[in-house]
Amino acid sequence: MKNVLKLLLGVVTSFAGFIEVGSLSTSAQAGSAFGFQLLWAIALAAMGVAVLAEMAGRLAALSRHTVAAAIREHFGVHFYSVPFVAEALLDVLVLASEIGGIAIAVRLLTGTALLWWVLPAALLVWVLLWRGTFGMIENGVSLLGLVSLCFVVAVFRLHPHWSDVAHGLLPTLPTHHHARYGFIAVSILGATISPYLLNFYASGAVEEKWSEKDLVTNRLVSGLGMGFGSTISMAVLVTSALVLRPRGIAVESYEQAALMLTPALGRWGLVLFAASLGVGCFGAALEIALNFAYTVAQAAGWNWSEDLVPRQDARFSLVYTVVVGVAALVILSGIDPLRLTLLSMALTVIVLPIVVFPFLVLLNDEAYVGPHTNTRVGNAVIVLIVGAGFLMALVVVPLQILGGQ
Amino acid sequence: MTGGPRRGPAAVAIALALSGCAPDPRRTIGDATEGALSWASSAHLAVEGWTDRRLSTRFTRAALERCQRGLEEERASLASAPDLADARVATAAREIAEMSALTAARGEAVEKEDPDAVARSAAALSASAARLREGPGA
Repeated sequence: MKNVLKLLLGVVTSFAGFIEVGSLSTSAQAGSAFGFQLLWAIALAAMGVAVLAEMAGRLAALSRHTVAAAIREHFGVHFYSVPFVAEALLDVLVLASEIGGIAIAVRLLTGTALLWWVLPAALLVWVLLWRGTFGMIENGVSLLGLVSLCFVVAVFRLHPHWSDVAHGLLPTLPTHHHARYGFIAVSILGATISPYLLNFYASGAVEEKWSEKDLVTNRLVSGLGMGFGSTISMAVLVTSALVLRPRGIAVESYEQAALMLTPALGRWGLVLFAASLGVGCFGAALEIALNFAYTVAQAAGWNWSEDLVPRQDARFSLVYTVVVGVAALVILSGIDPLRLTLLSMALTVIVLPIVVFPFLVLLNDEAYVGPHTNTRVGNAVIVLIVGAGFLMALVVVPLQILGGQ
Repeated sequence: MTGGPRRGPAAVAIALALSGCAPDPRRTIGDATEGALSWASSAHLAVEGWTDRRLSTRFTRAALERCQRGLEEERASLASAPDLADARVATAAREIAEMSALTAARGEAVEKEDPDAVARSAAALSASAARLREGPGA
């Protein structure tokens, strides 16, 4: 019974924690600009992240190593410095986007300027990291994320033609704006397959002392949690396609995106949109800041655990304190949070091979995972998704920056 | 959607490679028109929600301010275009400037909670949007 509850909690937290600033904004943009046509990108990304999360959990359960610690041990500190720096820079950008997302959620409800809420949002993130435990962060905040199920409710109330929705699961090219289509597809991949998720998931497994007997739980949590989670992203896309696209609204701001729930959910629409954005970003900000501290501490061989009090792992606590402050400064510089989010998500895809391919090597090494090495299919799925996303990003990111169509 | 969807990685690569970067007046106007109509439509949807009491005055005012800023950005993108001398570009820029002014007026009417003034500016904005849709970029 205890194991079933643990499994359910794991699935629900993965599922409820799926929505954050990246997935919400990329799905909203995709639906408003291309209707259901980019649903395939969410499905593909969900498959990729489910497979990668399963691998990260398996590595942690069998080797008691996190992803960062295992890469450093296997490849050496010099090699590890490359994925470390890449992931650290991305973490700062994505954390800034998430803190911006919390501030935007408050702005939507209060009408006050975004910049007023950046420091309080960052402070709230820091306080919970300082005072909270891993379980509180993973379960408590993620459970609040169940509010994002409102998008699924909205879809049913809007009565889409399900055959049109299903057609979006097949990759097709648009008749216009090819570069934008590619850029949003890449951003969806980046929003879903974030490098921080791998190390965070593995660090969580180490914190919770997973072992070989948890492999089935790991498989179910990663597969069901990420799979169900992607349905919320798809619901955002479908709602946006049904409400905004017919009116010719292409989402360029959160004020526009926030209008998508109103026709289906009435006066609760705006409140639920803001709550989904705020809670999702808050949860993601906690995970990213924590992951940054995990990565640095594991690379340097320091004490690390969110379950220790700060004086027992002072350097670990200092790292998340500093990174939350730096990310807040990035948003306070006045950069547009939506543009920062989309750019961060696209850059994630460019950085992904640097982080993922060494990780794949470990999952094929019996010294780390014993007889539970990757299957050829598992390797091929990841190489194809990450490789194709990388090549596509190399083309569309410069095109989008240069203003291509 | 118009036309049948095309499939295949080669088509993707060719389409992406051919997605040119050199601006021409028609495309400059087309981009700005599309952007401006999207902002105008967002303003309509926000005001529709306010009229039906589904959106607060505070949010609607903020949304209209954002829409006006978006319209100003579209107008500025035309103003900075090298082909401003082209009469079609100048006409589109004037129309978008009018839409921006009407959106600002609409925001003020919402703030004063004056439904008649909101309806008047809505009609004027719709007319301006229709002129832009059928105008120089069409």
